[in-house]
Amino acid sequence: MIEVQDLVKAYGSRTAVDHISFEVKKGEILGFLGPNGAGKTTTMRVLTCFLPATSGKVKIAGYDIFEQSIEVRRRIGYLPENVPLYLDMSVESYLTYMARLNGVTWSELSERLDKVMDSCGLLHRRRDLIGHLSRGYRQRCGLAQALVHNPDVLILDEPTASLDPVQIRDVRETIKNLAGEHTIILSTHILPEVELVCDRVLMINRGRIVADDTPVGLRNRAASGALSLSLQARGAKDALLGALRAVQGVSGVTVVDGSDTDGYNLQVSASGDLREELARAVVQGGFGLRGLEVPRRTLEDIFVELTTDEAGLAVETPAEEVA
Amino acid sequence: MRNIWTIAQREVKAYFTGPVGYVVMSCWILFAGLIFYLILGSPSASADMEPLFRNCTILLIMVLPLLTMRLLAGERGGDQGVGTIELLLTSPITEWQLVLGKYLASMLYMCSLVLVSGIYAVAFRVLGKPDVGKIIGGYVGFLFFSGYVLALGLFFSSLTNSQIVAAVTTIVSSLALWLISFFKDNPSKSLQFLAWFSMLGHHEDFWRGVISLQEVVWYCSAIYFLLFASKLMVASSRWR
Ligand SMILES: Nc1ncnc2c1ncn2[C@@H]1O[C@H](COP(=O)(O)OP(=O)(O)OP(=O)(O)O)[C@@H](O)[C@H]1O
Ligand SMILES: [Mg+2]
Repeated sequence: MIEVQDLVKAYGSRTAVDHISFEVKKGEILGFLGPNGAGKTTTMRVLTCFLPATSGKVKIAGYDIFEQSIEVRRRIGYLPENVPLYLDMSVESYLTYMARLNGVTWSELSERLDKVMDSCGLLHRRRDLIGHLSRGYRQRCGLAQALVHNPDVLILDEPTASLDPVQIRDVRETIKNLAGEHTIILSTHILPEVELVCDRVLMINRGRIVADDTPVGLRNRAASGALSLSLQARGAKDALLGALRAVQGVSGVTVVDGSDTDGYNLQVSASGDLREELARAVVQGGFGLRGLEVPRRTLEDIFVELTTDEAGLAVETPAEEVA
Repeated sequence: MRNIWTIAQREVKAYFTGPVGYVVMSCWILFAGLIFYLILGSPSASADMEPLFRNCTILLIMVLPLLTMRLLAGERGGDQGVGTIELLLTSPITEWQLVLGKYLASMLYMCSLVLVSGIYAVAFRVLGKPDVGKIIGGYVGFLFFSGYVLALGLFFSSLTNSQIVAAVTTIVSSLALWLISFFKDNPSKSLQFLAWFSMLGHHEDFWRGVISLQEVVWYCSAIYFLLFASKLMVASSRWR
């Protein structure tokens, strides 16, 4: 549905998007992650034909964004980052205007308006001036505007920003229900949201793709590398440390705190998931094993790892193979 | 065509419900009425509408830029930071449709101003015995003249993010164009050529009740040129 090949976008001498390529299949929800200034908004602006690309090729629904821009725009619903609204219009007349501009006919209009105001929780504010709405309601208006012509492709730049928790849940539901028939790209800074909503995650940093995977795949991928396990055991300190260091694959053991009788909290750096081997070493050495776990890595850890530069470079190579 | 109308419709509605529309309409009624009263009340009143038209064109230069300042500059935001241009440029409408829709809206509102001033024409008809041809010519002249000022205003509105800057530059350049018409009797050929660009010189035939093809073509080309330039500026805003 969406094919991006070697897309580059430079503002003067600053390259905001640097040779990114990805594909989104029909019905898929793609989450766009990245730190501030990574180039998410810029990529979306190129996809929606707002900004011309410096180089590269983008096809949406089979149409080229440069050559058949109008056809592409007909099929896209776009919620820009700054949620542009006409403050002097009422919710209903604003949506009517946007619907008409996007080619909704008069006969479909009232049905579309009701549907979209319902799904965005705007029905009871339909006659209010947008200028009198709160920030969250304005966000809902922006979202409603993107949905009003029932587009094949939705591009949503931080759709849940500044909504209340109930509304965030509703919007996520709405977005999930749209998948299947619609292809969706959304950007967000709320990491759990990605796991809840998206089929795939595209992480970018400084205009480059650092990861392209499913949320689960992303979380598992890092688990195979070097790990730091935490272990609690009781016994004589030096003998315990010696036994652990003797296990193959262990590169270091540090004591966090604790005593001989209550047990020690230890951090074990290992080349992989060595829980069985460590447990055996502790038990066979006659020490008391009180706990052993591989810390569950959250998407947040992975995000930080991939987007801070030292760590980012190390993981970049496998990530680009995927892309 | 439908897209042009959709855009124009929104703007016209905004003129009739928003403060700018009221201000322009009240200024127009008030000052045009005053001009009418002073001219008709003077002892040398000749029941000739030319002085009225002449003074009203100055008034138009002052008020019409208020109608156009918002049209494109307002979409960019600047002043309020709304940036709705992003919505328009990602909708399936062309830049021409956008510019023409905006222009059409300002023309429609301007026509309503001219219609209101029609009462003065009726009053003249009742009080004096003016030449109907001159009245019609004068009104057609109004339309072309206003069309020119509005196109100029739209162009300046496409250049900037600030509505104030758009209005001021439009007023200043209209006045400048007005002034260079005084060069038309200057012996210097180049100054005469410059005067040819002024809308005023192309206007006087209308007041005499003559609608000449030459002047109509001049106005239409000038307006087309300005709209085309606005379209280019809108398109280039994607690059800026
Ligand atoms: N109009 C512009 N002119 C010049 N540089 C720009 C412009 N817009 C964005 N940039 C630069 O391009 C880079 C990417 O910006 P972009 O807005 O795409 O980031 P983002 O990923 O959306 O960040 P955020 O999470 O803060 O929304 C930034 O370095 C930014 O400074
Ligand atoms: Mg952004």
